[in-house]
Amino acid sequence: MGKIHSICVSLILGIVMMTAPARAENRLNPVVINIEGMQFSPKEVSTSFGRQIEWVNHDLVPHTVTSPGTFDSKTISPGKSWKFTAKKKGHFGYKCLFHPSMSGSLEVQ
Amino acid sequence: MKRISQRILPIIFIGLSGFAAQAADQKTAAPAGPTDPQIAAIVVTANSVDIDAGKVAKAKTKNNEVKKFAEQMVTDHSAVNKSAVDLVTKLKVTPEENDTSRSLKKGGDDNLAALKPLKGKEFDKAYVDHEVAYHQAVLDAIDKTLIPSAKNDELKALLTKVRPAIAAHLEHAKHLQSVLK
Repeated sequence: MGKIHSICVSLILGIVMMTAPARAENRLNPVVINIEGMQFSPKEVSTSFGRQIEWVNHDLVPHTVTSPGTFDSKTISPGKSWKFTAKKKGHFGYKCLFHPSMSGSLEVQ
Repeated sequence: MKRISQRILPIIFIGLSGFAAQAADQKTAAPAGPTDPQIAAIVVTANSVDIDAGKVAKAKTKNNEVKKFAEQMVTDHSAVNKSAVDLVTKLKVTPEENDTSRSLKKGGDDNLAALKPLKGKEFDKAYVDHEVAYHQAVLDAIDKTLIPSAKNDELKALLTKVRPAIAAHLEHAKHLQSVLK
């Protein structure tokens, strides 16, 4: 009985230790999408559910990251960034409301 | 309308291609191009001219798409001008007026005068036509004259960074132009 108990404890500890770094990674290391040269780069990004995404504006002009009805950064000034964590899985197309030629997509799995 | 384009557009092209033409004329002599202080003045004037036109269009147009475009021109060119002014201040470069910057200013003033009596669709078309020609001329000047002539690396980098925004504005203006036809 004692042996089974210690195996169970070890298993639980193992699972906790395996998932903890992943959760910490999700929290600490956002997926970075650069806004540069009037483009989102990478243009298409696939990420895991719960992972934070950060758009960084390297351009001289303001931009937005907008997926109508899903998320909207509002204005991201030059040199600033915007972080977002999707609340649901799915495929989200987005664009810059200011510059119609700029678009990207986000796949949350 | 055609008369306005015929009167204003050559001023833009003469202004922005002035140094390129000068360089071509003097191929056999020393290569000519704008100095960094002259480039600074050209950049600031070029942005200011489009900010002024954007402000007029924003106040006057009844077309939502044209209004959004005009607002964006004011926002973007103001942001570019801020970066340009910050850089020349940091580099301790004093912008130096020159034939190109003066010609650009005259072209901008003439454009505003030409737009003033126009209303409705006629105004929208004249404004957008001018924006297409203006951004094309600026893009050509960046590629053929300003970037190749810039001596300071940071000034050259700024011009390189501005280029995609001008190209995006040109595409946006061309799209509007096709819609307004």
